[in-house]
Amino acid sequence: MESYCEGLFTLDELDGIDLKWGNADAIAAMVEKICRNEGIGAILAKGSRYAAHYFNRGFDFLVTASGIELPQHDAKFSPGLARTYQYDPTPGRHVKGGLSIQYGNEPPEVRYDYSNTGKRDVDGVVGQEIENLSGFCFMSGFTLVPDSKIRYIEAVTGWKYTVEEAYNIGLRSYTMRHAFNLREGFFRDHWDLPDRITGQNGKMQTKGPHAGVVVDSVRLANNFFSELGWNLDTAVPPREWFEKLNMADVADKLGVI
Amino acid sequence: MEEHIKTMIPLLNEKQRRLFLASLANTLGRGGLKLVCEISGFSPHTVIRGKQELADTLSGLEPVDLASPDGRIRKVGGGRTPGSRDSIKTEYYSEGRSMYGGYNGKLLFINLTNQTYEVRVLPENVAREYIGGPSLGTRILFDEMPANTPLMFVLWAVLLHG
Repeated sequence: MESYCEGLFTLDELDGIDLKWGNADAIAAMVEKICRNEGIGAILAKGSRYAAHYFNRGFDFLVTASGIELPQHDAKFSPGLARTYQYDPTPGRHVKGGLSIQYGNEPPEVRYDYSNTGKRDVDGVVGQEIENLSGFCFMSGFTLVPDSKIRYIEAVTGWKYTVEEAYNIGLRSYTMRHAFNLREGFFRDHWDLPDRITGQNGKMQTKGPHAGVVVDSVRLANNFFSELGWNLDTAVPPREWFEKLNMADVADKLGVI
Repeated sequence: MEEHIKTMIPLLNEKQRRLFLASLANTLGRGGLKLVCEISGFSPHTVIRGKQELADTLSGLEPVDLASPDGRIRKVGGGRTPGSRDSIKTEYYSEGRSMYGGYNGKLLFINLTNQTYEVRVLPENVAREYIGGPSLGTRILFDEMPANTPLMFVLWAVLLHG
């Protein structure tokens, strides 16, 4: 829509759909074409990054993390989302763990301070992983007291977890999903995030509440991987990490020695 | 009394049996529950449930008719499914495992190409460490699916809770 408004596409190329900002009927018509895999819809159905490559234009307008469309929550408001969007094993999702959306409610001197975010980022991942792997409602994060999710799991299963075991459940879940990507050959440099999201390389906003905000996404990720003790260049965990989580066989399969 | 119970039980449906044994136990007073269970071979839980139903019936909490309006004796979904619960129990006991809550302890692998399926045991330590959802799901994919499988999301689907 933005690309069309900026004149990158002709009406013919969009199968006659006048995708002007504010034209709700055009949106409905285009969604139908996407669902039916018809004409331009068949290309857009594969995502906006695929479409940019297909037409070889419009890259500057992409709002994707490693090719996956981002949700509405902006990293300039809550900078931790930059790390989550870019490096969660399923990128571009706000329902994955990290500093979270709520971090944006912190005063600016806290949320734009990138000096020491690792511990809180990892804690957020652990909590979110436990929520996701057990099927808790996302809103339970707002309504349940801390620790209660693991207590619920204990009540259902009859198992008892120590504090460390409970924390390791979250770390193990994240590590397992991350290990899957590592095995498929996706290391740290594979995952991208457009400058539009971070405001880097002169792409910062000039108007509005986030004018001038530049998110230090590299520092956020370095803090995160440092806190975990993983390799900063490759994002590969050391062997001791796998052993701590009883995942030595995964390390073997990845060739981590 | 043993003869009395043995004569009556085959004549009654499940709910009537519970009520009959419960009323006997009540009449016998102290130690009655144990005695009735020993003679009849019914579990104390069953007879205690009968006592509760008897009390509810007498106090008007539960309708007096012994079957539900559609003629069912058991609740919908009640009772054993052939080859389900008992076989799991046997399997777990025979392998020296104890059951843990929330799980049936089994994974079903369906091969749509060969139209075959396989039931595998979900080891308790794996369930305990990975719980379910994307955590256990990725573990299963990682173990079962070779690296660099083309069209992985078309060829593989893992359904779990969470």
